[in-house]
Amino acid sequence: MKNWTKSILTFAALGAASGPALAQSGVDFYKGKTVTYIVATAPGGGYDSYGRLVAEFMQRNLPGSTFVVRNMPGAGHLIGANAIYASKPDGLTIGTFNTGLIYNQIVGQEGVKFDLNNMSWIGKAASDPRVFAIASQSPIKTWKELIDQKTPVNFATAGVGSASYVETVMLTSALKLPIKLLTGYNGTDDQLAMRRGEIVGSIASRSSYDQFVKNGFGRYIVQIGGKDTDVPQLSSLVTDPKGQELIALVQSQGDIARLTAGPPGIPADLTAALVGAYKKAMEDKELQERAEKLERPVEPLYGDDVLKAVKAALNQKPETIAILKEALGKK
Amino acid sequence: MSIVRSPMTLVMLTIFTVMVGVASPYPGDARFMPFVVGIPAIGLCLLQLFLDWRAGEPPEASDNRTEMEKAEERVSKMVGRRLDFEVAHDAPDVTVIENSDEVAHNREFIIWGYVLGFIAAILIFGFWISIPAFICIFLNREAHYPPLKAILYACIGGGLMFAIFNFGLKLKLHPGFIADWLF
Amino acid sequence: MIDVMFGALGAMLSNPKTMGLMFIAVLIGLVVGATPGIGGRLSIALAIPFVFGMDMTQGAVFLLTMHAVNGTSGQISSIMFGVPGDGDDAATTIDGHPMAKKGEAGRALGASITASGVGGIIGAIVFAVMIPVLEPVVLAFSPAEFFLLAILGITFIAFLAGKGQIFKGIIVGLFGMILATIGMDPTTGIARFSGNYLFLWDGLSVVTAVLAIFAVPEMIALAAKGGSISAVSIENSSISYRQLLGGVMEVPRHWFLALRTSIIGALIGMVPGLGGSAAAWLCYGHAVQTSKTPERFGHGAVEGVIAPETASNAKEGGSLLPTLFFGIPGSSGMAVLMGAFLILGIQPGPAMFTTHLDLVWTLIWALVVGNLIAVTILLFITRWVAVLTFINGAVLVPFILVLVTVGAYANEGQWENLLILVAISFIGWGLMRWNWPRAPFVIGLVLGKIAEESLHKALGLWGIGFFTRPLSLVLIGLICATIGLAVYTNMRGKSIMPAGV
Repeated sequence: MKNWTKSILTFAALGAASGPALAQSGVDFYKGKTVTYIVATAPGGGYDSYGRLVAEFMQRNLPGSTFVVRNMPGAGHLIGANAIYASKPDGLTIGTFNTGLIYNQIVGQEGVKFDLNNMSWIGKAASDPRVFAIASQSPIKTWKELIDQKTPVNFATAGVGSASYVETVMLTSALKLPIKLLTGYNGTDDQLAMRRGEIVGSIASRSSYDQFVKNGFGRYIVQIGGKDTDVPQLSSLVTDPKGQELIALVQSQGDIARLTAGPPGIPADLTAALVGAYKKAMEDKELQERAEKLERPVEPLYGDDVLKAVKAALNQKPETIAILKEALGKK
Repeated sequence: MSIVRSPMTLVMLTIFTVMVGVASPYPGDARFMPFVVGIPAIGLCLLQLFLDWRAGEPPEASDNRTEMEKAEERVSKMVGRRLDFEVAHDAPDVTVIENSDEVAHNREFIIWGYVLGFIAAILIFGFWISIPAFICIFLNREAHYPPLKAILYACIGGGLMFAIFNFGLKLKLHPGFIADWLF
Repeated sequence: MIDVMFGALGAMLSNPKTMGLMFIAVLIGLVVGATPGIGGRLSIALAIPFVFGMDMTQGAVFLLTMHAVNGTSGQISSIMFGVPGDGDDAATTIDGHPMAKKGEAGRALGASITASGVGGIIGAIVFAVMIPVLEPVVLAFSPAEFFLLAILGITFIAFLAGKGQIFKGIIVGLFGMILATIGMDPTTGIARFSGNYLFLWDGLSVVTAVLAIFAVPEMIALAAKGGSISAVSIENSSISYRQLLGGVMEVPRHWFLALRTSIIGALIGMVPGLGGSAAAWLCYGHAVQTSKTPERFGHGAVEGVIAPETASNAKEGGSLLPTLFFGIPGSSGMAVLMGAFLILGIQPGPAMFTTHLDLVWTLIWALVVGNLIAVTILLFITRWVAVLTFINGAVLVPFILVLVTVGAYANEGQWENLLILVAISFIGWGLMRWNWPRAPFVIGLVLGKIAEESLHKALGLWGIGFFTRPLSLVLIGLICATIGLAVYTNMRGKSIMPAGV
């Protein structure tokens, strides 16, 4: 993702300073430079708002820099993620995409042109646990009542191949839940379907359902991950080790929410500068306030810590990979 | 062969046949809609081909007669004798010269040339170079603007777009493949 | 209730900062809306950072006005140049542009701008009236009804084809529908017709398709033919306030139609899930169906401009209702807006209507006043804008083509869309050249997608028995009636006019 300002500057710099190495400290490098922050969704919506927030505050904490947000929507975040991965590792392009792409990489889905293991990880901003949300009209009030259902209940997911579909299929088959999957409910279609009584529940991110539950339209019966204490953790209610593994995988998803990463091979000093700016951004009171207003309080991790978490999530046993592949319709 | 007179029907038939063909190996649910739409469409195209063949002379591709002329013909048919509406035949004031239909149809290929050239230029050189270049060349050759005037308009147009997109909306437009190749 | 209603209006009008913000919002909304391909979502998303510190009411008014007005200015380029800004505007282009070609651009614009204003205001009124009965109405529409409504809209294609062209019209409509299947199939996760082309996985970009089918062929024809968009010279038509006013007065002249299409548009907007341009097209089809002289449509019938414009503006007012009441956005624009509302501290939900009724009314009034301001501004500048239809086409064409290409690209930021633009323009040009109808294409493209998704969901929920739900049966009846009427009119039309006319 070149831009003409950068190319002209490069020529000028090469011409003027062809002698000694351009050994500046990472932070100095960004003076007068423009960083492109790629958001893998269309404008508006959670990833975009959060991405713009992060970009704005990173700019404040990297003196002299200008952060420009670029939307690259399509193919369920794949286009944006591919673009980030393929961009020049000059420290001037980073971005955000759905953590669910971890699933896509694990099964080797076509269209995946990145390797999350190699990306230059800047950080992640929040934790967005998964919850089992049940419509208020339904008599199901606890986890036990759900698993005791005699006939399968309708659960909504987004299109086949999406993160929500994968997680629902995985958990349903591993924990032998009485759930009938109905696909194709994108965005907030599932919430409306719950109001209409067509759908009993949905496995979704907590941030997308908090408003719905606050309005009394639904309730949470169980949660995966996160620090909220008002809902029981699924890991404490399940004893089967295979189930526990899958729950851990789903939890890692929720833990690494709102990530920021760059292409592989960004020079170490520049990555350090970016991570530093990111850290300062996360510690800024104003950003924390805004983030909380947007959806979730900030729960950051930086640089290598994120890489560790991502590597752990990507490293799954063959059986799990098999279940995932089946969920995504692959052989 | 009168079928040649309905090229669009053939084009449509080809498109539907190809798409239904591509969709055939898809599993049941995925190919349901393409089949439900495509197969009847193929049938209708064949029906339309038959109708075209039977109709012989195709209807006017573009009816540029004025309302008065058409009305004149309709009323003439109704009454049974040739009428003559003066209003239909007075030449309206024409301040700009238009081409006849035949010339226009042929010129369309030339204009296509401009369009394809413009798009190719955008892809290779990016928007910021292609936009002023296209405006300038087109105005010079088609609107017969003198070179300076064409360049002026091109700069104004390009400048305005730049201002709106780069500063107003902060949207990045395609910089062209050449940017990738050179840098 | 009444005092809350007017209290909110009074508070809004008397606050200079609120009015100032509204004015700015209208200007920004109009400019962004006038450019093809740039969606309203972007302008709202860009405005969000500014909104963080704003007072709750003022921020909401600002954003809502900007959003509501976005759809109003796209009609300018649709009518004048045949360049629709998005799927909504395509419906206006069908009759609006032929009017411009006859030298009646001023009249068309006067009618469409007024229609937008009226639609927006009636939409707000419908919103207000429906507040007590909203919940059961919205909840009555399930995927089964969406599917049938989509089919109903599609059957209108039969009316849009000219005489003796009914098969061509259906073929073009089916073409739109099959193109709608391109992309990732939600049922099986298979990327249909798109293989490894990621940019097609989400389907064809509707903006690109619409620009390609309508705008590019028109521009090519204009440049080749020479002359100006208006076949009638500037002396023989009257670009004056009189012509404009003539257009404005068309709306009261067709008041019943405008009222009906506004209400239909608002109701469609209220039910989340039907998608953006469905309202415009269903109402266009309704206008054709209820006209005594349907053959005028497609050639410059002013009702063909009034109906879609009222509907698409009224829809915005309608879609505000589920957004505020359920916290479930009525459209994608509303989704972005809702996020912004949350930031401002507005909590959508039933509580809004009991504890924050004044805010709800303020928003309703914002829609009304914002629309009035927008309409006034537009009517003033239209006189100068309409003159463009009399300028030599060779001067206009390059600028318009620039806008078209930028619009097609900027919509998704994918250069591949320019190739799609070329490919579909080719087909659009062919259709125009050999006199095939083009309007059914967009209907098929938009409604076809809705039809398939809804059908799949309905089958998943109820199996094949979903036809027997009461509301479904009503819709099925409507569909049969429509098809019957279409066939009857077409047959009748064929026998009266002599062949070849």
